[in-house]
Amino acid sequence: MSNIKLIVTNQLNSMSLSSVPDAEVNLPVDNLKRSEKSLVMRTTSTSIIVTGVLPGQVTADGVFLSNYSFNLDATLNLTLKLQGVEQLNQNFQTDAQLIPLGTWVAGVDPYGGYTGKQIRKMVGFWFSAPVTYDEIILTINDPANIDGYFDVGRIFIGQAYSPQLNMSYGCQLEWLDDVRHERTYSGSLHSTGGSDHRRMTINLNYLSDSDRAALETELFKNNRKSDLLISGYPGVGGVKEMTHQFIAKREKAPRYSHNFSNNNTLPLVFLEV
Amino acid sequence: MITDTQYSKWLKNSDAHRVVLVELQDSDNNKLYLSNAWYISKPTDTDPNRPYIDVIQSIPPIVSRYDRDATIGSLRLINNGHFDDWLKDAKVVGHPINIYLGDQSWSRDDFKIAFSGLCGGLFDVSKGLIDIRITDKRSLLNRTIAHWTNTVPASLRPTIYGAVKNITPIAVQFSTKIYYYCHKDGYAMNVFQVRDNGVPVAFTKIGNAFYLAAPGYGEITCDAGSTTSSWLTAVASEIAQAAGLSVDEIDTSGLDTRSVGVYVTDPSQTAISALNDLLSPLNIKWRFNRDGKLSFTKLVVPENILIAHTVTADDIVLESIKRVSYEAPVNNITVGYAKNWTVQNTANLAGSVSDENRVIWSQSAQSTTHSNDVQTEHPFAVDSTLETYLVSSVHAENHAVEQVQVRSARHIYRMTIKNYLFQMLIGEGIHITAPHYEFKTGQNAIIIGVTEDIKKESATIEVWL
Repeated sequence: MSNIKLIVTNQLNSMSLSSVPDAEVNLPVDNLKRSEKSLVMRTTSTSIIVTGVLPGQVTADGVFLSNYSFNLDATLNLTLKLQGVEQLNQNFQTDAQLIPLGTWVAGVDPYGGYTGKQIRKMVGFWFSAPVTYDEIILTINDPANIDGYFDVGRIFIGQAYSPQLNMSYGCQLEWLDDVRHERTYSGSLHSTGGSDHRRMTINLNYLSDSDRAALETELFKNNRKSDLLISGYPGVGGVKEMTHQFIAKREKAPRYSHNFSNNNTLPLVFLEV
Repeated sequence: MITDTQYSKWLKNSDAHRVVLVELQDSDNNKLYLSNAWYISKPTDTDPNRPYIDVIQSIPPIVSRYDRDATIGSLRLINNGHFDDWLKDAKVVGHPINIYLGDQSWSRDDFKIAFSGLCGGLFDVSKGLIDIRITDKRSLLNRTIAHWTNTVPASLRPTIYGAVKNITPIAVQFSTKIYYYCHKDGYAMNVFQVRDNGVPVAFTKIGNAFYLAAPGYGEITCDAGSTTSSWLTAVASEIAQAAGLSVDEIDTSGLDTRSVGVYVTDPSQTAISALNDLLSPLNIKWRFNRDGKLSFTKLVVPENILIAHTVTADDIVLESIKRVSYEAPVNNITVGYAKNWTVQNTANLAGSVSDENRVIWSQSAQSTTHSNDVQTEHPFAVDSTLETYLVSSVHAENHAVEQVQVRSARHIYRMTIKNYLFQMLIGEGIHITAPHYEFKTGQNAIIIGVTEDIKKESATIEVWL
């Protein structure tokens, strides 16, 4: 487990993207850069290879996919290259699996039997060490797909910002919904609505001057219109990591306080996109 | 495909993930695809892999009423820059906008229409927000329905809908004794009888004209009409079609088969005024439904209506039942029929015209009266005279009797029904049981208004009983 991580700059947005086979005409591979949930990349194949080429080299330490519809047992491979030389080659897959009813599973199931689809689990991983690259090749294989297609909404790749001292206790995670209750003449309580999104409030109360400078620079380069990836409890695993990791925008403009020598504070509120 | 029964069941399921899809078309048939929640059509859909951008911030309730066109107001959108080109260039005003409702998991082909209207324009609300104003299709009927012809001599010629009595044909070539009685494209017409000062004379029909065997010296009139149908269903539909609606845009299920006749001589008469003149005296209301179709509703006696819905206290939102208006009964009613389109001076009619016909040709219409005599019990009861385009005396007498029963002392109630979106149609019968003075033992009523709130998943209805 490490301190909170933020990927503020999504390096994918600077890439020239292509795929084999080609994604569907109305839902092309460039949609991976779009925030709107209906603008996804779609393939009607059971596998797709997405290639992204950067104009120059950058360093990343994590990759994550969100808003996907491939099966939970789909396999993925990430290859990062620098000037044609492989720097990273790693298979991965979503680690939340549906436990069929009546199936006994040894040990403690950290996800409580949830599927990733139920709580919008991101699939991806933090690299063991930062990797410098200029080309990404992501392969998704979903041979058991019976829908005839699968979608990927976003791919986030970049170098995470993580403060030396973690956020303070008191991190708040809200599941906001629009459920409304109404009672009828007979006393029944009818409920309607239901779509939800997350709102996470944190306080970075122990930012050194260098931590502040690094974060301030990142946030300055990416205004509040930009999406970022937040992971409140990276590496902790289970539902806790799952629920505190999502793509978000900042609700309010940053307000730094220089409250002590070499110490700064910054409250942040993230809204799930 | 999802059946209507499955769709109705889904509408009552409060756990459903409902999505509203909006398709706005411009003059080049390009479309904007919008939604209130993300949605992408399936690869197997008629329009495959179509993303709908979830920028709709609010969807006002859809208001339908038996005597008004369905309305929805404005859709508010978040403009994230996606619509700048449309705001700048698109010709959308007056072009179709369709709103569909379905489940986020469904195939697009399973969505059903919730509202069909015309775009009234895109307007700035505030920074980042725009409104799509939506109008009904009534403007499509604000068109004249008389016909010009380019044949020699070019002129505006009167138009017949149904069967009409004693019209005055236009003498276009007196020397050759030719008269145009009607010009209407696409409809076969008959001339049943031609009279000279009230006396039948021989004639030969040629297209939409006739010529006399001998020159007419007096006032030439004739009876004419459709060779196919003078039923109300056909006549109302023909008037709407004359204004440009297609058959698919007209739902005549609310009309009946009584014979009527309309003679349009005023070149400025629109389909709107013609439909009002035809239907109002018959107590039939017309409107554009939320599905965009021209529809008709005739109020009948609520006590005897066929029940399509049964709602109980468990369906009705607490404290939502309200009596909102009272309608006084009709006291005595007079129904005019067999309209005489050329009122003639009896002095000019030939001596051989019978006394009966002499009366008929000199009056604007015939009439029948039915007495109710309820002013003692209901001091606000009023006498009513209805100038109808009915042809038959039997239909007119039946109409008078029926209207006395229908236009009894009536009330309108309003109430909100949970989980009843898009289930109730204007004109349908409903049986209501609720702990409210009027409905304690159950009451039949007719649905005359429905306000459907997709967000609240409820329908506020107005019922007439």
